[in-house]
Amino acid sequence: MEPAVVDVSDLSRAFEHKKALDGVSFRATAGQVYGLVGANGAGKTTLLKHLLGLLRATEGLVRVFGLDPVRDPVGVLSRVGYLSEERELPEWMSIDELLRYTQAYHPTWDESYARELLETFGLDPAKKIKELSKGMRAQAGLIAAVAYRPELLILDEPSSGLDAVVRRDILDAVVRAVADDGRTVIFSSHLLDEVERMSDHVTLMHQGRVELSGVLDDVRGAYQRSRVRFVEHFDQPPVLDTALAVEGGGRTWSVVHSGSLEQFRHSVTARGGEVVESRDATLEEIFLARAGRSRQQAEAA
Amino acid sequence: MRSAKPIIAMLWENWRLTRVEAGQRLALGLVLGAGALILSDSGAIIAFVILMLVHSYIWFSIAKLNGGRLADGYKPGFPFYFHFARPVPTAVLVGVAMAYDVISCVALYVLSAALLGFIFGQPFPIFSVVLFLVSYHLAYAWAQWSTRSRVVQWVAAFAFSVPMFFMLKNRVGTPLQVEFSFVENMVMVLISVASIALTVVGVARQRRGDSMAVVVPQKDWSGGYPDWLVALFQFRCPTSSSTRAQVWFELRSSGLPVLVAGFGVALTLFLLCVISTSFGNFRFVSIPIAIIAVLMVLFVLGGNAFGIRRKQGRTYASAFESTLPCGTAKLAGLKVLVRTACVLAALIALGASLWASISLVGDWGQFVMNNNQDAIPLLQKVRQKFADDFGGLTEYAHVALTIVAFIAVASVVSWQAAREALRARYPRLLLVVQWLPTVWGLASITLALAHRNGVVPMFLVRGFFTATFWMSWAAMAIAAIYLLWSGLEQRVVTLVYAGGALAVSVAFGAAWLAGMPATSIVGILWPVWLILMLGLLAPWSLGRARHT
Repeated sequence: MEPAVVDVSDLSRAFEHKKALDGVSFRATAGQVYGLVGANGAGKTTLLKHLLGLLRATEGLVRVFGLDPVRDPVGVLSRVGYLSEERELPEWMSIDELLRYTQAYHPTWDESYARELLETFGLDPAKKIKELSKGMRAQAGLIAAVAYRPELLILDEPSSGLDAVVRRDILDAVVRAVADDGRTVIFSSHLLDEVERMSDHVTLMHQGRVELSGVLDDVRGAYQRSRVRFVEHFDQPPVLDTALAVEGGGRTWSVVHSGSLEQFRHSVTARGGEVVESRDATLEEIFLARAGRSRQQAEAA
Repeated sequence: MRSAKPIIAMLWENWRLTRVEAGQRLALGLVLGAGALILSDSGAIIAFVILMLVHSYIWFSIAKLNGGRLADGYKPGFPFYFHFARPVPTAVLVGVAMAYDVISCVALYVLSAALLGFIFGQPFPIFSVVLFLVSYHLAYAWAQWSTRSRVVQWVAAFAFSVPMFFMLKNRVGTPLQVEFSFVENMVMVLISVASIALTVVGVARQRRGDSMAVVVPQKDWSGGYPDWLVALFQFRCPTSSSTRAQVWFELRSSGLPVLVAGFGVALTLFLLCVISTSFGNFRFVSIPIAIIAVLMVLFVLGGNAFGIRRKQGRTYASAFESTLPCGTAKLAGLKVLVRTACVLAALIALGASLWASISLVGDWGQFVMNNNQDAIPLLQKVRQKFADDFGGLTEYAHVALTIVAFIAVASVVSWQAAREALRARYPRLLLVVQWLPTVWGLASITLALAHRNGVVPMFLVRGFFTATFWMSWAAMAIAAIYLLWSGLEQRVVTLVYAGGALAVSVAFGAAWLAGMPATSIVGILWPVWLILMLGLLAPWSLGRARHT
């Protein structure tokens, strides 16, 4: 097994009486892009904060580069780049001051790379942070996070505030460049198309739990969306093996299901129907199906 | 009935926001007032002034909604700005908040005065000062709420606070009574009505978005120091080492603004004394301002060295600094050291200003205080004694005193920084700890009263004070040992840092012994141990706020 850059096992965390993380396990290896997806409050940011040592694990284990980020913040944070809207940059600083200040903490600072990114983003180094728009702040924060070429880049909702052009052309490029360089990127997002575009691995979080985790292509290949037609008229969604979500009405239904198509086809035939068409499910369809399923399970419990 | 629910909701919000401070102020007024009545011959007037100050001039509860204390990161303007989206007329929004503010503080004053009067048999003016309290609070609310300009806020608050203080001072008679003339009462009624009307107009402007700061949102990072103050010193961040860069950060973000503010206060004080030569009325504010200035530099400018932030009721450590690859002990040490150096420099400037100012009081002619004595010879005597005592010291003693002063200021800065960090993590526990001195004060006063009435013998009173002294000693010793163990175990305290904290404590003890006499070994060990505990508490508390 490849050595893990990030190793989280059975991590639980509660705020007051609300469980934000519930037995989460997560592993990341070098040179890969990991996308964390989930609705608001799913626990993505809480997990990332544990990786940075901003939150202390009450149950479970968190290791980054084999180190505990709370007990050894210098060892971990000197090798990690972090960008988040919550990481409010000092408003009184100019961009140049922010970069110099960050540079002082990181001997691996690549000045030419920083200048190149400044030019790419079209940022004026003399401008103060407080004078920047939300998107420009995110760009300045991104430069400060990547210019010392960290071994692990953690991006918490990096697209927040960025327009579509910046998101696609710049963020994607930076993230891919980091990963191609043999380094690791973990980013959270609720934009599923973004995760699908940028990630090698995807982890779906829901209500503090990891619902689904794996290589993106494997995850997508494991779920299909099929349109099925029955002879009989159904008022309620028909019960089908491996079905996660069923939509439609009457005789025609659209089903997101896991497992093999043959097994599903057999189940449909047994109910007097046929599979009209089938394709790989999108990440969004998988996400909605899985999230809905866990909600039903929670309600049933 | 349609508008009753929002009003009840607003009153509830007010209550939630102010209840702790209301309790603290009630206890503070009772403890300090009772202390004055027990200890001083003119205790009644001192107690009355204390009650008036506690329940009017230093009442900031609702300001918490705007982000904290007056000089530290607050957002100017109407504190209930989040009510603007509610379907309630502006007059109601403002009226409810003003009414709550006025009624709560008057009720607390009346309760305190009645209690002290009942316990000590000393009647306090109640009905005659109610209108004063009402008009002062309404005018204060007008100055603070109707504008988003800090400058206007400060100037306006000063402009009516000082004349009202003099009006009150001139109407206090002996034995204690306060009698305002009909004209003065009418003026206070007019001030009240005008304040309400002007506040409604000002808040309505903010609600419509006409006010300045609505267009330019105030986003504080630097602990609330105005942008122009932070931008006053421009020098490049060194990249050669993280330590130098962090010192640069501390100096730019808060250290130098503190220094400039301290120098500004010192200069203002000196100018006030110069003006007082020609305008006698200013003399009465010069001395209170001098006392307040020292406290302000130490406790306001020296506060929150860790840059703990407050936003919409949430207290938290900055994620930007928390994610720096810097050890907690180093970060805490640098922050405390830089802030201490700047506060000490500001205090030295203030001391120099006081020194120069007192040399001017000879030109004042006479300065008659309440007890009908000329205060000028007393001030000059104090200055001369200070000159004789300090001038007569050896060079070693001067160095020793400097070390003692630096470490003492560092300890005050450390405690305040740690307190803010602990507030982010353990707000309820901190509240309990902060109440302990007040509870101790109440217990002491009760015992003293009981002893005076012959209920409790002297040995019990002595026993109480001895017991609390040793209990505080034991608590400090246990706390220091726990902080050392816990800090080392969690790696927020390094061995080097712990050694440094121990060395500083020992240096304090040695410097104290070199410069000043010690009453006993326990007398010197107590502050030495306290400094050690505060030294260990600083990184521990920052660690708790950094890794929640």
